[in-house]
Amino acid sequence: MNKYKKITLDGLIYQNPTFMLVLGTCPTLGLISSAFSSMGMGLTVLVVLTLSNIIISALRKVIPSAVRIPCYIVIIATLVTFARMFLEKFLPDLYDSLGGFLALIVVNCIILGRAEAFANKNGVLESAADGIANGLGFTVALTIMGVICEFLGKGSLFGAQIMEFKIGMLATPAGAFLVYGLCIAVFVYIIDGFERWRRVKANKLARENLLNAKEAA
Amino acid sequence: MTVKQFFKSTAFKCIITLTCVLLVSGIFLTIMNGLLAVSDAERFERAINKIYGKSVKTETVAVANYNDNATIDEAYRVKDDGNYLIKSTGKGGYDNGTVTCWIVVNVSGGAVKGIDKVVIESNKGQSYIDRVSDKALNQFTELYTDGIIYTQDLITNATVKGTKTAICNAVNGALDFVNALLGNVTEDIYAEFDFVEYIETKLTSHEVNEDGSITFHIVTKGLKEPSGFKVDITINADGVVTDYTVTENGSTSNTYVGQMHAGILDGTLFEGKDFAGIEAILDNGISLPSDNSGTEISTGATHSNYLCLYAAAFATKNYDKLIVDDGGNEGGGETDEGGTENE
Amino acid sequence: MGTFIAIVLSAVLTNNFITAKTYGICPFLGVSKKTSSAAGMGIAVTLVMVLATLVTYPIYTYVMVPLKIEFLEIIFFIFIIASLVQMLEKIIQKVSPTLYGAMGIYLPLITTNCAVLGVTELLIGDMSAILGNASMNIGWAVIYALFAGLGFTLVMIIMSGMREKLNYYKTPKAISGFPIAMVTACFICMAFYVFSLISI
Repeated sequence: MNKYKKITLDGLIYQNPTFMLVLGTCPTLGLISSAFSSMGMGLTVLVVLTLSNIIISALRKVIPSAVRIPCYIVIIATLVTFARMFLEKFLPDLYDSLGGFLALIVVNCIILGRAEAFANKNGVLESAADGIANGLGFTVALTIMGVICEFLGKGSLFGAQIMEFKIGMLATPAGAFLVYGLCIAVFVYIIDGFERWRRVKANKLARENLLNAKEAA
Repeated sequence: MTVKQFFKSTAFKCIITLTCVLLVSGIFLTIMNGLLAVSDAERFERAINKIYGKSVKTETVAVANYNDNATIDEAYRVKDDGNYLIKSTGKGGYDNGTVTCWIVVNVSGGAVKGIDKVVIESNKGQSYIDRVSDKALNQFTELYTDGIIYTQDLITNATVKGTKTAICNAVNGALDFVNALLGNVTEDIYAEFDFVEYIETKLTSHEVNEDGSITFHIVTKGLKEPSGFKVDITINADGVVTDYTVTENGSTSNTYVGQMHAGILDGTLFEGKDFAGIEAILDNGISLPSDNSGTEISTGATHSNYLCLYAAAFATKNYDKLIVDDGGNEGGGETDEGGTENE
Repeated sequence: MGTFIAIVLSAVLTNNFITAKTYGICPFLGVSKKTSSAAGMGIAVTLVMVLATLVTYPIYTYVMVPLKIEFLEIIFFIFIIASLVQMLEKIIQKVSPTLYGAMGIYLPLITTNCAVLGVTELLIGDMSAILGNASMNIGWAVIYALFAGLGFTLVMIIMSGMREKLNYYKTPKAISGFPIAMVTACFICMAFYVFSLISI
């Protein structure tokens, strides 16, 4: 069980693909001007990533290592094409709002990166968990930034107008860069602080234990 | 390497694996494409639903053209409420480009009642089209008064007027088409008049006053920089301008309004003159010299001045046609109405 | 001529791949610490973009559309780009080792670069806003790809110049690295945003 906890925490926080590893930046910057499209992109990547992780880890013993990258690319491209057909048929609104970035999921570094770093070394179940964790990490990060950018840049949330006040710049690529950069900084700062607090606490506990042991002796 | 060795080598295994993966992917996607492909009919239905906001049934209407400024691409009658959905391409955009719009024309009782919605579908060469917001397009529902949309009333952020003109042309084309379809073609009474080159004949109107004078409410077209002017001109029975007011100035900005000829702005240049007097303002008759210079109206806003001069020429030259043709009838009609009011 | 100018202005300034479309951000943030490497990456990307367009556009128009297999475009395009990059790497290695030294290390990274797949996907889509009344053909496609690549290179070089200067300043730990690079990129985007006011 501990293994899955580590996979989940890594995907969501310590190895968060958006904030810690800064992967998949193109769709992030291109779509966070709208909360709806950024969340849609996150969920699409979540599905494609999970499926590709499962397929690749199932095939990891069959595919010779010399041609593994072309094989992965074909598998991912197939899944993306499928996702595109699915969205065009059943969710045309999302399909329109994602635009060109839908096809570019193929070259999203997160998917190929997880295939290379995790799925071709681990079993099907772990890979599926890893795909879901990383996909969720990506989705949550994109949605947070999408909400910030849309709320401040357009005065709306998920398309519903909330206030008149807006900073138009935050809905342009320039604002996307700014918000993304600041979000990374805040995220890293919080994680660093948390780690330091945990270390200090652990040291204190160890020292108390030592003192107690001495007194007892 | 013998053949046998090759079949056992890694290279062979690689080729087989890659081919298999490609084949499986191709077959999978072909099947999925068969299942999930969005047909043209579905795409069309989706486009209509997006415009309408609800799903409706339509029937195709044969396309014909009644307006030179627009091409009707597709036309549909909505079975549910009798409205018409027209896809129309307006000409006269920036750099001779075009704008294609979907237009929902509200029809009830066999007559056009208004415009429900305008949605831009595509354009050619209109780089500022993004600045035409939905808010601007919604104005069409309010702008519809008498069967034609007047370009200048549409407020957009597209500083290039061409884009605006093309959209209005598309909408007017759709209106003309639906009117013709319903058999409600209004006769253009000014079409055969002189000097209609710069006059929006469908928007212009006149009334015959009790003393025999005629008041024109003239709307001009745009000419290069300025867009259309609205001018009220009253001509007395002798063909002399007695009253002249610019009700709406089409100049690009207040700077150009300031540069217009003062006598044209307040009418002192025209008042008291008949057609010969108006014609004499320019030495060469009533056409603008190609170099725009050397005449009284050559100020910083020559084209604005010229549009007003043209409106005055239109009014003074044509007033007698109205008196001869329908002066009696219309005058009688107005007196009758007046009579009823008195009683 | 008007179309040519419109394409150049749009590809380089108003619709720049990095500042307006946010394609190709990975190399933009990853390989922009030194001007020389940024320029090398930019040129390599431009080269691959032009070659990829030269191959994918005719294949799509003359093979895939008649056969009605447009839905396989992603697989075809990514495969063509990957093979092209491999071939290019081998050829440069054989023909000019000096050039390989300067550019070769960036080539493998280009396969997974959004800018290359992005330009090929963009060019088979609706380009009428930029082309005006001219119709799309392979010539305009290649010109667009070339200038989009040059626009990419331009922004890469500007960015690397700013990041070289940034090395002289000490930044807090949480901000150093990607965050400060993105704030820098934000300023470049704002400067390029002004170009979108150009009417073409």
